[in-house]
Amino acid sequence: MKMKTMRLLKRVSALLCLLLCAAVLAGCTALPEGVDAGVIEEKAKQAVDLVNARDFEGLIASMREDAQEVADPEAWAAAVNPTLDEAGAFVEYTGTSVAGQEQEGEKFVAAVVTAKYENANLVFSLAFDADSQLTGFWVRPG
Amino acid sequence: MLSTVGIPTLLGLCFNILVALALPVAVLIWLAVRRRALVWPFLSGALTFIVTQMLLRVPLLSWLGTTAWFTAFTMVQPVVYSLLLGLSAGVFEECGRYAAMRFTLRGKQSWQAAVAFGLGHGGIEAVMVVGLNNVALLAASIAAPGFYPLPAAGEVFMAGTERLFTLLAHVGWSVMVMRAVQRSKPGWLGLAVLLHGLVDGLIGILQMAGLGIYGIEAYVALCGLGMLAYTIVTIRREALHENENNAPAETG
Repeated sequence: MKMKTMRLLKRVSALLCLLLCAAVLAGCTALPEGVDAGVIEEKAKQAVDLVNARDFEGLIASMREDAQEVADPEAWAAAVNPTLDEAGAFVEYTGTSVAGQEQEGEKFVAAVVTAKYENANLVFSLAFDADSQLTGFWVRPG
Repeated sequence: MLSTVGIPTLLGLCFNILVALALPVAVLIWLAVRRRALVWPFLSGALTFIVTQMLLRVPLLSWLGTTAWFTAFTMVQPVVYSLLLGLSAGVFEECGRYAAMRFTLRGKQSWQAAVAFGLGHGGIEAVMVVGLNNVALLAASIAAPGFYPLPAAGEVFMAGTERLFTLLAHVGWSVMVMRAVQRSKPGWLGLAVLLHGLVDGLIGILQMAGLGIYGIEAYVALCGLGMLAYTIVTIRREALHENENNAPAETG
């Protein structure tokens, strides 16, 4: 009985590990049809360039219409400027990654740009829709 | 003076300090006075938490958080990410527990040692995650009321309550891993990793599903009580087994 239980436990553990791996592999990087990872990376870097120039109005203008309506350039400046002040001058981009996902029926693309600054590294996370339009933007120290 | 920080909130902070700082220290003192042989298992459990979480897992996760690919993964796969995060806690803490019990508790491997080990492991976690923070928050709330915004009193109490149930879970996992060590059956270690991973991983998923703080804490309480039930059943069985084994030796 105990041997049987142990064998069952081993099988359940192996199955769960396999399911987890399958879930990771299945949905990790599937980009929506027609979306070019290179284009998204370029757009993401352009958005970060606008942030580095502290051009929040320009950044918001580059977003999808419904996202523009709820974004306030002054609030964004107040939220992001302290992080940029602490980080210092931009040095170089250190990495980019693009991945796709479907959430509540809507396909979206997540782009992440990492960059080195004089005093810190920053991680920029951006969300794009299936038409490669910017819909969300976040930044945090990395 | 205390107009911006209510008395219930201050009581909540005191409760958290009692549970997450005074209780682990009191357990250690009690062991030192009454059960000196269990002091080392208690300290070994605490040390295991510091090594596996503070020195290994947390820095690894922090580093992963600075990489573009991992951050993108967390954005597009929040459910899988939550499960992986939980599973990583299970792998690091339970494997660390197994190694520590095997190599630092040689000749002292018993269910009593497992309970002390779990109390040390969960105790230091409570001190580092809640206890010390709440001492600082209490001091700040008295010195400069309202300067540090605090959640509602009920939510403040939840931090200490959660630590109590987490402590029970750590004792249960320690008893489970001790079984793997004593009987040389790694299946019990695998089960501890899996359970720890599921308990931790589901917290994030339940949050994503919209469960509020009280719902999450009820889930943690349920897990803690489940592990307590496992501990009681196992200890009763082990105590019975020990009595049977010791009886002839004592009389002979």
